[in-house]
Amino acid sequence: MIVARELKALIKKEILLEVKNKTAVSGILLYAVATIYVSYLSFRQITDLPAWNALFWIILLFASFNVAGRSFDKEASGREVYLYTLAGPVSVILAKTLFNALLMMILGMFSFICYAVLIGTKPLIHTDYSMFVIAVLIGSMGFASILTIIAGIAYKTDNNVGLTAVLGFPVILPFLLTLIRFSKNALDGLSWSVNGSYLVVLLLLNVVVWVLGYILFPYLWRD
Amino acid sequence: MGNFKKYWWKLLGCVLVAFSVVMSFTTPLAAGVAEVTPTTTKKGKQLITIKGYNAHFKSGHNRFWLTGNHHTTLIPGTIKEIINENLIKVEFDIPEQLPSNNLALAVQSREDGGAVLEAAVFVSDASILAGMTTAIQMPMDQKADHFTFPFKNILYETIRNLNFHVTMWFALIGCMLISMIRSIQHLSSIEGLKHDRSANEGVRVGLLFGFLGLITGSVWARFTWGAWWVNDTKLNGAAISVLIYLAYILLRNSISEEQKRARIVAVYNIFAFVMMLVFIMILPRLTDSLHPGNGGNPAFSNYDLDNNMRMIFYPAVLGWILIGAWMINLRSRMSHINFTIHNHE
Amino acid sequence: MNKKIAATFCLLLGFILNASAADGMEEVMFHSGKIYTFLVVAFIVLLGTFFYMFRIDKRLVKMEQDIEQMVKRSKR
Repeated sequence: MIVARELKALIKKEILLEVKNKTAVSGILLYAVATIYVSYLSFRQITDLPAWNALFWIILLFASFNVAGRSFDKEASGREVYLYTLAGPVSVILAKTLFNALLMMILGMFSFICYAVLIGTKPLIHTDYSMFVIAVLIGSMGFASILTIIAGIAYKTDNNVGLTAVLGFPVILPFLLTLIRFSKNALDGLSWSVNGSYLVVLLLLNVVVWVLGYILFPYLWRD
Repeated sequence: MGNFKKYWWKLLGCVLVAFSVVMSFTTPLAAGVAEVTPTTTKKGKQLITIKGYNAHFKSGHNRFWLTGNHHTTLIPGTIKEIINENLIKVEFDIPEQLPSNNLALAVQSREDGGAVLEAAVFVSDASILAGMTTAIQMPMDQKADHFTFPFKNILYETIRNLNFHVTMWFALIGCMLISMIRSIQHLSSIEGLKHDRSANEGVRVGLLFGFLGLITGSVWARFTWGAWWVNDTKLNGAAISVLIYLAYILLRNSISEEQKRARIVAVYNIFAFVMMLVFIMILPRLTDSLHPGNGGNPAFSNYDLDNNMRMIFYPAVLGWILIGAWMINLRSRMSHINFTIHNHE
Repeated sequence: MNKKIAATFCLLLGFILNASAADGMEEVMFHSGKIYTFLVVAFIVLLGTFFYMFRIDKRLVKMEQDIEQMVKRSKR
C-alpha cells in the first residue's frame, strides 16, 4: 500500500537525520540526565514510594514535552517542504507519531535506568519489574502520541512556543493520572488481575488519539 | 402564528425547565430512616430509638423490623413510645442466633411506603449461623401513596439538585455537540465562516454551563461530602474538559488569519469533543469499576434513579439542552449580524 | 400587574392545597408553606429570564430583516 511505503521512507528519513544530526536526541538525553541529576543532588535517595513514582513521571513528562514539541520545528526549513508535497498527510502524522513514540520509549528506558541508579531502588521491595517496564513503555508511547498531534495543531499557529504545553496539558492529565496509578501498583507488586484494567485504559487512550490524529490531520495539513 | 415553527423548540425548552423547577421545589421527600440509636447492641430485649424523616409515626400504621440476610430474617419490633412524628422508641427481641452481625432497620408504613437503613445495628454477642432464613418474606417495594422523591441518607433534600446540577453537565455536552457539528460543517463546506462563528459561540455557551456545573457541584459536595473537591475520576474529567475548551478559546486568540484559524480551530474542536466524551463518560466507568463504590456515598454516578425522579429529571435535561441551543442560536445570529455589518462597509 | 397575578396565584394555591389536605398532613403543610412562597419567587425570576430571551430573539429577527433590506438596496 502506498501509505505503508511512504511511511517507511519517512520514518527512515527521520531516523537517518537523527543519527547524523543528533540534535534532538542529544538535547533530550541531556535534559533527562540533567533533571535526574538535579533531583539526585536535591533528594539524594528517595525512600518514599509514591514520591519516587511521581518524580519519575514528572521528569519523563517534561522530557516528552520537549521531544514532541520540537517534532514540527524542522518543518520551517525549505528542503522538508518538497518531501511533504510528495507524501500524504496521513503518512506524515503516522511517521512522526511512530518516530516520536520510538524515541520516547528509548528515552524512557534510559531515564528509568539512570533514575534507578542515581535516586536508588530502596523503596522498590515488592516491585513487579516487568509490569513497571511495560508502564514506562506504554507511558512514553502515550505521551509521544498525544503530544505529536497537539504539536501538529500548535505548529500552525503564530506563537507555538508555549502553545503545545497549554493545549497538551489538559489532554495529557487523565492519561498521566492513570499512568501514575498503574505504575504505583506495579511498584507495589500488585497482580495483573487488579492492575490490568488500568493498562486497558492507557491503551484505549492511545488508540483514541491515534485514530483522531489519523482522521483530523489531513485537514490541518491543507496549507 | 406563522413563526411558531421557528419558536416551538424554544418554548418547549422554557416549559420543560419551568416544569422541572416547580416539581423540584414542591415534591416532598419520601419517608426514610435518618438515624438509629444505639448502633451497637447485644442480644435479648433491646430498646432502639429510631429517628425518621418526613415520617408519620403517630399515624399508627407503621411497622418496624430488624432484618438481616437480604431482608429475609425478620425480628419484628413492638412500639413502646411515640415521641413525635419523627421519633419513636421500638423494642426488639434479638435472638441468640443471627445470619450476620449487621442488621438493617426496615419500616413499613401504609401511607409512606417502605424505608430501610442498611447496617443500622451491630449485634456484638450474637452467634452467627449463616444462611438462616425465616418463612416470612417482607414486601419491600411498597411505595408511598403520593408523588415523592427518593430518600437517600447522605443527601436528604439535596437530591433535588439532580435537576439543576446534573442538567448543567448534560447541557454542556449538548452545547459542545452542537459546536462540533458546526465545526464539521465548516470543514466540509466551501463557503465562508458562518459555521465557524456558530461553533465559537457554541463553545462559549457550553463553557458557561461547564462553570455553572463545576460551581454547583462544588457547593453540593461541600455540604454533603464535607469537601469542596474530591479526587474522583469523574470530577477530574469534568474539570479537564472545561480546561480543554478554555484552551480552544486560547487557540482562537493565537491565530490571526481568519481562514486558517477557522480550519485549525475546527480540527481542535472535534478532537476536544471526543476527548471530553472519553474523560467524562468512558474513563469513570472503566476506573470506578476497579474500586467498589464507597459504602456511604450514593451520589457518585450510579444513582438508582427512582421512577418518580426520572419523570422530572429527563424533561429537565431536555429543557436545559434546548435552552442552551437557544442561547447558541441567539449568539450565532448576533455574531452573523455583526459580521455582515462590518463587512458591508 | 405581575404582582397581582402572583398574589392571586399564591392565594389560590393555598386554598387548593388546604382543601385537599388531611389533618395528619398539617405539619408537613405548615412546614412547606414557606417553600411555596420561595418557589413563586424563583419561578418569577425564571419567567423573567425567559421573557428577556424572547425579547432579544424578537429584536434579532427585526435586525435580520433590516440587514436583508440594506444588503438588497446596496446591491441594486
